[in-house]
Amino acid sequence: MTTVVSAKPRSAASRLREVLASAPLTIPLLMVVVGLAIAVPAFRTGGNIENILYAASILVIPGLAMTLCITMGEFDLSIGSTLTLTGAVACTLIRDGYPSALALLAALLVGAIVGIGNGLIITKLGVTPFIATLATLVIVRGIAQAYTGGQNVQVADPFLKFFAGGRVLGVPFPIVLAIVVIAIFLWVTYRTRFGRWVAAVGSNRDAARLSGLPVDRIRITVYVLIGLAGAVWGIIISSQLQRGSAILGVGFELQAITIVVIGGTSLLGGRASIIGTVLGALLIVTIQNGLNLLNVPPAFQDISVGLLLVGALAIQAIRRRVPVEALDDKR
Amino acid sequence: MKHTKKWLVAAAIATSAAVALTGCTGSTTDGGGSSSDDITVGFSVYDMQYEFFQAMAAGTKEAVEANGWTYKEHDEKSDENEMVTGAIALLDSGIDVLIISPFKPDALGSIVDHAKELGVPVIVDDIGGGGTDYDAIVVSDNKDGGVQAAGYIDETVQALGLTSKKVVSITCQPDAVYAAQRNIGYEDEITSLGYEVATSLSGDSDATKAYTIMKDALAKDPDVSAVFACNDDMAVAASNAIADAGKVPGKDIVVVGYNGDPSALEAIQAGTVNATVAQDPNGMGKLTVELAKTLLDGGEITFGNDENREVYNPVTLVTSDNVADFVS
Amino acid sequence: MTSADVQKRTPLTALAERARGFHLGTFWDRWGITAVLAILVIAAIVIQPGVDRGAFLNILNITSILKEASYLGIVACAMTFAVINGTFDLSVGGQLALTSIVSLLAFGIGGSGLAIAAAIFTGIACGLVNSLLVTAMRVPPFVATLGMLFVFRGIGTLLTADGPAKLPYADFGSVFGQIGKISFGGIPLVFVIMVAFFLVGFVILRRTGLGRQVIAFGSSPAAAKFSGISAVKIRFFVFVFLGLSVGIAALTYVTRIGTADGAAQDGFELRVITAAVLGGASLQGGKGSLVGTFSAVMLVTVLNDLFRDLQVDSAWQRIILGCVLVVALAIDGLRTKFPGFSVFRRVTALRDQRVARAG
Repeated sequence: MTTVVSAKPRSAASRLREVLASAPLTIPLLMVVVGLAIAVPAFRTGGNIENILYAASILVIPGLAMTLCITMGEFDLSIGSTLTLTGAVACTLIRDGYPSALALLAALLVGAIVGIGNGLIITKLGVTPFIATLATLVIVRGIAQAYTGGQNVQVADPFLKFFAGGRVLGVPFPIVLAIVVIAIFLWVTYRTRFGRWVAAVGSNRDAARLSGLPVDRIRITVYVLIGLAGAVWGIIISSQLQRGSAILGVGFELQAITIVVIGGTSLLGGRASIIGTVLGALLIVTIQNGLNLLNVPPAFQDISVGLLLVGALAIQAIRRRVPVEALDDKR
Repeated sequence: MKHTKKWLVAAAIATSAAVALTGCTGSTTDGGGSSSDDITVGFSVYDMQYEFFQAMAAGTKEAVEANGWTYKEHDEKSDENEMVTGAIALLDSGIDVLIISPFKPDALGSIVDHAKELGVPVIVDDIGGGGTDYDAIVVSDNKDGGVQAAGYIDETVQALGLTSKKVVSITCQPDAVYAAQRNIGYEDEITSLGYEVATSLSGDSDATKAYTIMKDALAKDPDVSAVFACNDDMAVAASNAIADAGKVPGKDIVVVGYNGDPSALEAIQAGTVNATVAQDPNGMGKLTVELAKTLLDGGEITFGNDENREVYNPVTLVTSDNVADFVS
Repeated sequence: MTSADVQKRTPLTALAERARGFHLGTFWDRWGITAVLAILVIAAIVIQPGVDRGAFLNILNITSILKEASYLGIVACAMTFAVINGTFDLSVGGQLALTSIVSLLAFGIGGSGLAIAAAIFTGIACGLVNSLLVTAMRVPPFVATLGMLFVFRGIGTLLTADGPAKLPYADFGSVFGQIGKISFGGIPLVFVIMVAFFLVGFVILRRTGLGRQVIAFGSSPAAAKFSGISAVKIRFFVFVFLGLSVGIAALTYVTRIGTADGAAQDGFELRVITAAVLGGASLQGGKGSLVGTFSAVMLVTVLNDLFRDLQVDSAWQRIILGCVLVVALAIDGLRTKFPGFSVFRRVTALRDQRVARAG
């Protein structure tokens, strides 16, 4: 399954075209936004819009890292556990008196180590990413549990607080961070060699290796990026709750994967859709926000996300008329 | 040669993992045949990741060992399959009495059934009894806790001079039927006191969900005066959400939680949470062991509610006035 | 090898000949996990000797292990088919929850017969929905089943909005309730059902044309297509078979637990896939072993039992389980990376090298 990867830098026009190519997503998003704006007065307030952007920003950072991974044709199911462990590490170090900046750096380091671990197991031991990261998910959560001894680690740290509650020029920090991260990912994916390499590995790993690409190093780098993104996620969640705990973050990896898949990045690999992931994050968060405002029980929220996931891709796939066997994500 | 080494190491790990299990033991006691002095108590607990249940287990263990008995623990890890299989395994291993804090009370059927076959008494600690034939159930008076919270909120709102009559209610996961009594008690009482429950949503007993719910609730009604959360994790998260939204939790909005977790007690001392309704999981654990002793000695239990064989453990409202008593 | 060696055919050389024909890799493929299971069982017997209550071989303990393995095993069998076919189904947890709920509700309406029929019917219906999504609507299986996972669980939650579905305590004696309880001399009925299901699966996979098509399609979809195998038909079968397996598994599960709601068995799908892959099925497709899956299911269940009896802290339980998975898969992964590896050949090659250098 080969997809031609564009070798030219993307112009503004082609980027706009790509946004429209995620049309299956922009239209539902607009529909949902307009519908809610009319039906629920509270939706239109500045505070609520900020809430949506805030929640979407937190979700989009790990989502973008996951986009790279899925572009490579692989999955990382362990990001939820990484979130838990790094948050626990950060909070524990802060509680034990270390300088906050150091604690956060340590958390990032732990995230990177988990990423390296994943990368090595997958490349050097030849284990399929899906199952390898499934195993790491379990192991890392166990480590988090052992590390915290099952206790909540409570902190009250202003430096940490800034990451979830602080504002830069009046805009909440996570939103600013997300904008910076989106810009970085757009640049890396479409304008650097690395971005093209990731897509090449995703299209056809053997061909990439034969053309001389350092495939193993590329894959490990992507897993490290996910580990770092997981650490950032962990830091922000700890900042929100002012707490580290081994029970946080269960199932969060599915959220990250869902926004990427809804956003249109193909599971077959080879083509990344950064804008798609961003729109996916906005869509999911908007729907959840709307349902919260309408006092709708959680069951409906789950059903709607599920139907959305299936629906968005059914529409895409029907238009593509892909043969059944081409739908597998085999590497 | 690198490959052979890796393979051998892998095989060695697999085997030594099995053997190494002998090393990582808690209290390895073999139930065996029990003489009348050699009582073993099996305690199956909801999930040891929660501080509430850690305290319950600690209380149970203390009381068991104070009686000179043996203590065997099983962690259900929030899984009903693990609950049933593990509790039955405890019964099979020869315990004399089963104390269980069930993850899903409705799954108690086969456990109680099996216990009856083996002639082992069953005492339920909190959560629920699922309508089965347990010998006794120890519960906190959850509904009363919610009512107490509502009363406290009314007092404090007036004391702080807050004008809004709108409040928020964050519930636990929908299937925690006994815990649901907390919000039911709260919502009934607070509406009878003249307030309006503007938002009532399930935080699924999860802090991160409660955070988002509180934020969205504030966006909808910026002038709420209070929030009551079904557990402390969610209350502290709501308090943080209030702070991140630019208000002062504890002063602009009254925050009340439930359980009496250390995190909430700290927050009360810091002033970011106003109060919590403390259960006494440690005390509940001890109470179950007391009841067990009564049963094993052939005595009769006095119930708070005869029909459901409920024995109540009182709850206490903890505010900044009495929080010092609770911080251990 | 000098000509002198060839003449000597002592028993020793005959044994050596047999050993040379023995390829460690093929042995591991078919019996690897079973061997690990055997080692684990022996270790368990050593750790908890005897047959009294509390010992591993105690009849109550064995019955409990066999009962617990059943529902995981039945679905893992069908999942092996899917993995061999090059796909998988992430919605089985949701299917299990929904099927269990419907079955319990049906019991309340029409007793045991209706409950059993409802379970099977709902399972097949879920499988049909999945297969339609994947074949007719061409949604990638990963996404389709992930989405349906949420939908099935959501429907289950709606059905139990007023409280979990429950088998009333009084009805444990009914035919339906007894399914989870009866055992024949220590062998539970649910385990017999699991073994029967595996046997049927084995026959289909290895002895029928359909099974061969499933494997062929998994190894090489292109080649299979050119041989005229209908991709749609095979996929359809795989997902419906999975649905049917969940229906039967639900019967073994819910009659033991007695209750179900939308959140039941969270994470079940990943445990099932783990069992299939641990048993030797490769996510690339075309490779898998029902014997392996069976052993893997028993391995995980026995390991859980040991953890419980030894009161291993749940943090360590997770770590050990994860490591076991990594080790088992690393062995498989290394073999894929370095095919044609044989201890004997390595040793012979070394010896030949030395001979060549000396001579």
